[in-house]
Amino acid sequence: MKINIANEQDYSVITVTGRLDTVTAPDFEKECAACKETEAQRIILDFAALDYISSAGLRCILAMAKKIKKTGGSVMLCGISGLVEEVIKVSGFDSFLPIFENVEQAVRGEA
Amino acid sequence: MQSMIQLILDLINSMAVIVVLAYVLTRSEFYNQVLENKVTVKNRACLILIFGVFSIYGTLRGIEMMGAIANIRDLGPTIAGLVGGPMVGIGAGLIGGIHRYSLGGFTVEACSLSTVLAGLIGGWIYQLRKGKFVGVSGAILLSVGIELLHFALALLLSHPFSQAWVLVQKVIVPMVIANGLGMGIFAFMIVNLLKERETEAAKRLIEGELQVARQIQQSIVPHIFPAFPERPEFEVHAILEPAKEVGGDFYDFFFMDDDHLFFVVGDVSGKGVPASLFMAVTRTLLRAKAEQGMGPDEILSSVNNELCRDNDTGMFVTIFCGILDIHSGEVIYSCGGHDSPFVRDQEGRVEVLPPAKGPALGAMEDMVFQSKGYVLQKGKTLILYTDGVTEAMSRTEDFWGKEGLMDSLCGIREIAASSITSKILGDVRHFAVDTSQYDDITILALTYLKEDDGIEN
Repeated sequence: MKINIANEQDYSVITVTGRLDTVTAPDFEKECAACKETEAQRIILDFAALDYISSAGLRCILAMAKKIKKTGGSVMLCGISGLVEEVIKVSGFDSFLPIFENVEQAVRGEA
Repeated sequence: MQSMIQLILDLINSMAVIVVLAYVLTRSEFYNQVLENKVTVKNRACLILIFGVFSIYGTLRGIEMMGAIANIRDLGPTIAGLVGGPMVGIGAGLIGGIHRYSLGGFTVEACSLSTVLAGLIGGWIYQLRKGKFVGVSGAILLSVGIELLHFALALLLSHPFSQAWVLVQKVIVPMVIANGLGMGIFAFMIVNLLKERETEAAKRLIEGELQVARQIQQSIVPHIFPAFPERPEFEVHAILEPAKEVGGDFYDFFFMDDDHLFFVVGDVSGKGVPASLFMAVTRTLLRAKAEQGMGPDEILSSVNNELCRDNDTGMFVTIFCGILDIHSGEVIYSCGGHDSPFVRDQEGRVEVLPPAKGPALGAMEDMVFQSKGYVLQKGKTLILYTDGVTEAMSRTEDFWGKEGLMDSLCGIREIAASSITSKILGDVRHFAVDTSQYDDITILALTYLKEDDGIEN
């Protein structure tokens, strides 16, 4: 798994490549803790290059969403497809996390 | 100066031999018993003998100087006293001391006596500390102190004094260094050994607790089969195999009233102890809500809100639950982010139950869950499972997948629920042979057996 974090004025884009599962989830959590310090109100998770996400990965996203919600922010997903899309849809995470085609749309906030 | 350095090196050489032997000793089962303070007569005798021999070795490897011997004779008895108490210390000291006495020389009284005293003082410290080891610096200080006492005795008891004075000046530094160093190394080994044992004990304690936790977890799900032998209308069977000692998967089934059976399979995110706690809470909430006679969608939305309260860890649980009317075979079901079960008919045709929408529980409050209905005809089986089944991985890192599970279901001849669960478990194990189980595995099969009697009720 590879993580890239880009901090912008009022949002952060986290690009994740590879697998987000039990093994890699702790690293993901650690790295993402760094971007919270910038107090970005929106965290955009770019999963276009993510191959697989397990429930441990979902848990990280959820913890992130809950934390940022307290300060009025939100977590957005974009670029999901294939197995990752299936997991997100089956688990119902799409019912409370906004999903966008790509990062640009997420930044503009249009579906 | 040169000769002093040579003397130090020689003494360290023989000290090294003793330390290596002592290390081997500390690794023996015999020594384990000593550390557990099981100082039996036999163990005492062994300690006396071993450290007595160490003491003699210290004398023999000593360096003769001016009719006396520079040596590390006191080391053995001191250690013996420290680890075995006064009796052991004095015993080892006597062996070393008597041997030294037989060799004679002008310092013979002082040397023999100080060897016995070394054992006695070691043992005295042992008693003062109630058998607890003194630690590295304490042991070194003790050893140095004993050597100083040794020299004080030599000056007091040996004649002529002037000769003793010259001798002491020559050997005091090398002997203090060699004895102190030897004791330091040995004490370091003992302290490490004790730490190791503590860690081992803590590990064993946790393992023991986990084993109990596993038993508790296995016993809070229904585990006596056949579960309802007095009910010919249906058969239910389930298997729960945690990947670790405890897990986050669960199943449950019970009668809400005389005619309605509630059944559920759930999967908490993550594994191990945190997941198992969350699982226990979820199962209890489900039971409480179901016993109030709610529908599956109401049960899930109410349990969801309860689970969301103060849940900052991001833990969540996916659930499929249903209520079977045992007279009609109708199942009303709801789903919270879980894979939809399979339905298998008597001929072995398999299909996916039409999914009911709803998110995983514990994620966000005030979620809406859909409820759907399906009529199980005679001989049809509902197969609920968790992703530990479909995401079982082979050696070549392929998933078993829903396809694997479907193939397995198609290949079953019997319709008994217990045969179906064990066939699936057998097949998934066969697929994932030689790999370690990665996720909890849960399978629940519910077979409806009642003939449609054509009477509307």
